[in-house]
Amino acid sequence: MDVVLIALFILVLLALYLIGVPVAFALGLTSLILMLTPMVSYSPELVAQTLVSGADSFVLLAIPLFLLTGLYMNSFGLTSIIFDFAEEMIGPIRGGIAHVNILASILFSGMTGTAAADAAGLGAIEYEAMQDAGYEKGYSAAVTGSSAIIGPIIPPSVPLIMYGILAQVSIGVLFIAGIVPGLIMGATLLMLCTYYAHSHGYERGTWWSLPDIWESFKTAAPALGTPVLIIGGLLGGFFTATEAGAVALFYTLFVGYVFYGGVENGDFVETTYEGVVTTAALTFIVASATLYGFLVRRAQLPDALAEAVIGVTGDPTLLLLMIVGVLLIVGLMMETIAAITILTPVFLPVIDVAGIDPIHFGIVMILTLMIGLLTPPFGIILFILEKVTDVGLERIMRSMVPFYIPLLIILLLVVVLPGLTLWLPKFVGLI
Amino acid sequence: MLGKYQFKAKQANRLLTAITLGIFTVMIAVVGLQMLARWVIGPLFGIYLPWTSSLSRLLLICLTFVGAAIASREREHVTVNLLMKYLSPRAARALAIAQSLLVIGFLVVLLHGAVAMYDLTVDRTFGALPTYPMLTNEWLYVYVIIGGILMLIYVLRDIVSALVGNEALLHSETKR
Amino acid sequence: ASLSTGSDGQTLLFGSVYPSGHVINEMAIDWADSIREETDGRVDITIDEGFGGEREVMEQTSIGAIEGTLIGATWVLQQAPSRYWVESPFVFDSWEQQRRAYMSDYLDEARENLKSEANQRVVGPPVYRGFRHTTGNQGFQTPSDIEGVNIRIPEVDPWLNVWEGIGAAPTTISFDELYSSLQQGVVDAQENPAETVNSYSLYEVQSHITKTSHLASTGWFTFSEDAWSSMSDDDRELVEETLTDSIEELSADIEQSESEALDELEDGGMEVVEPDRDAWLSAAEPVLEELFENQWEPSLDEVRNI
Ligand code: NA
Ligand code: NA
Repeated sequence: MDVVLIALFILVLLALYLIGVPVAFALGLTSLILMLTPMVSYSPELVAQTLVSGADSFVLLAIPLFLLTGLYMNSFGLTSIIFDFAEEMIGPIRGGIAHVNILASILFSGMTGTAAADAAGLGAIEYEAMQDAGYEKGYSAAVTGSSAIIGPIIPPSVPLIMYGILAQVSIGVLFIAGIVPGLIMGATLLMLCTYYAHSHGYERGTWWSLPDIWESFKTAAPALGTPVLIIGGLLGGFFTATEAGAVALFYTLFVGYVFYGGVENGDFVETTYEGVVTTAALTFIVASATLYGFLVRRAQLPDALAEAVIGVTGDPTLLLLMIVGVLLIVGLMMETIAAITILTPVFLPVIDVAGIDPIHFGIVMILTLMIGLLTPPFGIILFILEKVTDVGLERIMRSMVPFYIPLLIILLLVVVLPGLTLWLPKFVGLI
Repeated sequence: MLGKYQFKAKQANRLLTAITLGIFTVMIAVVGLQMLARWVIGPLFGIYLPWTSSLSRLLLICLTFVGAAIASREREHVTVNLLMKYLSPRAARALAIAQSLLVIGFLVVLLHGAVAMYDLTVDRTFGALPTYPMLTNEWLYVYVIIGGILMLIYVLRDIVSALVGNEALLHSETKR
Repeated sequence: ASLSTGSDGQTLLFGSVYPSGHVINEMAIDWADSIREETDGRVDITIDEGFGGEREVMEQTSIGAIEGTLIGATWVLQQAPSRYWVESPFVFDSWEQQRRAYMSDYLDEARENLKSEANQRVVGPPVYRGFRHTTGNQGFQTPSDIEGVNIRIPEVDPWLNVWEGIGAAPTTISFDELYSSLQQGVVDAQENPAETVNSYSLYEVQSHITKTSHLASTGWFTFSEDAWSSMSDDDRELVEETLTDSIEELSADIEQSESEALDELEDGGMEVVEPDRDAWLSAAEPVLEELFENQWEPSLDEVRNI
């Protein structure tokens, strides 16, 4: 009975995804189909009621705010300024431009919340720079893609906001918990690139020049203020995670017009419009995922699943590894936001029973799904790279393979060492 | 004849875009106002505007449904488009129509439910907002109805373009 | 786990707004077990959380998506806003008085409207969830101590009015963001029962708890009219009787654990402040009078004489 039901919930949804029904409607239609079985009663009122209550959330507002911050950064040309600054910082380190690529992504990820924004905006600049320096095409694309997924681990992060809303945990705490794993990821990628540079005999860049570093820092400083403002404001108690989004947005507009001479790429209204459309597409998914989530609960599936999983193992680490396995498979096929909305309500009761911290779980989940962005068949970063570079999809995928190993090792570390995520929020007294 | 209707449709589209951008701007301004109330207006003038978080929530609900209609118009809904590129143009066209019909099915149920919920929630307050028109609970469902009808219109447009064979539609890119 | 609409005497699903493991849920689960046994499975109630807040579960019950709720007092605000003084700060002297008010004719309108407009009925007396007190990083001996203090108040209009009327600076922040907001100083004070302060570890981020006892929070069970009428007379009687007993027992337990919670808070390093309660009540009187004048009925005098 339960097996049939779980299969219905997941297979119908996947079938609808496969034939190209948009995620939001696929979630709604799966719910309707379930309502037509004798197990749940058919109720159009429930459809309208859950969709509205799903969109009714103050924390959800963080999504448009951070999204727009990232979009404006691109249109003010701040991405290339950040890149230049990273270039000066890396200086003569062998294989420098690859390091610049990663460092720029770390800096940029403190301002925007999605990997796609990084790959599409900054990614094009990074790839061009590596091409100009004569790097192999596949390698350039792979460095750009794997560093882009640091974005949603380091705050702010749209996927973490989604998780926080569905799991009802503090988004501020989630943000702080992501910092250490994000930095470890960055450091590991930098080491991998150093190894590559030595084994392939890549050139050194120009020696550090203090005046040049200072010049590029002066140019970049107003933009670099954004992450300082966000993280500092959260820790210092001036605003909540949602309000941090508004502050980041107003701040970006301010520096964009005052220090950087306004819009450089595209059109201000167009950019805003793009933000509005993307926001609505995301919040509409949250809305229909609420209907789907209601039926998951009404059918009491989480309890059945929790019972089944706990029956296999009660050990939190083993359990977490099992869930990571499921997430990796799901991440191969599904878009991040869709995966978060479907799986958070299913797994939350399970981790609750097993005594796993929901903050720890949130970071593990997002990290796993981010790796899924780099893997076929549904790796959105791969598709974006194919669009912003001149490399074919097959070649990008082949070049990406060596990057999977360190990323999976980091994932494993974050799973078995909860301290990596929980130490910092504890240290600053948030939990 | 047709040209005149196209012109009107263009104007209506532009109006919809303007309204949505307006809602969005006010929503962000209200979040800003909330912080301003806490840090500046409150301490200085003793005015704390506790309705701001309710209002920004209401505007987000409105934006979600009207904005979802715009996402339908621009075909910007998040889609996992795996199958389409392996199909013959004919099969792809049939599949596009099937997708649209499924979406219509959902929208019809949503609209039916929204009308029923409107009746059920008439005159109930929403959070800390006063009982002015457009701010009470039943209005949430008015926003759903407006968004739902607009989405229906755009999906019907998609069916028509699939029938007359608009290739651009069939090979629209996978969206994030 | 099976699921059905319950109209044919199968599982009745009740949506609780209280988190998993909350005393009210625990009590309800025990009660549901005993009812299931005593009716030989005719009345099979499951308590579950995660369906949303009070507004959501009530709407879900009224449209038949679930069969009942465990909620707070929002139903009064929704169905008879003019009677919401029954769950507003600084109106009553004691819990006994507030409880009498809930059982009085004044609340009939709210109960009737709940049936006719939201298709559900309140069954049993209120669950006493404890007096709400005020925490902060200072004591609030007198109302003047809270002048201009940023205090987090739930998004309930009359409550905001009363606190603003007393001179505080009320801010609405969602409960999810409350701990971090207090920790970071986004807000300086909040008000909740001692039990909540304890179970959500708010004592870690607040140094003082002032026993303002400004109102007792109540919890309620509602049954959808469809589920209620699907049961036999005998079963209904049994349900109401056993639920009333369970609620009385739980309320007594909570009253007991309330002082324990305060002791625990004191052990945890919080300073418990005994305020000048008369000063607080009289400070609230003008704004309460104003509310009775504009929104509420009958009058503060009549209410205090219930
Ligand atoms: Na980020
Ligand atoms: Na990068």
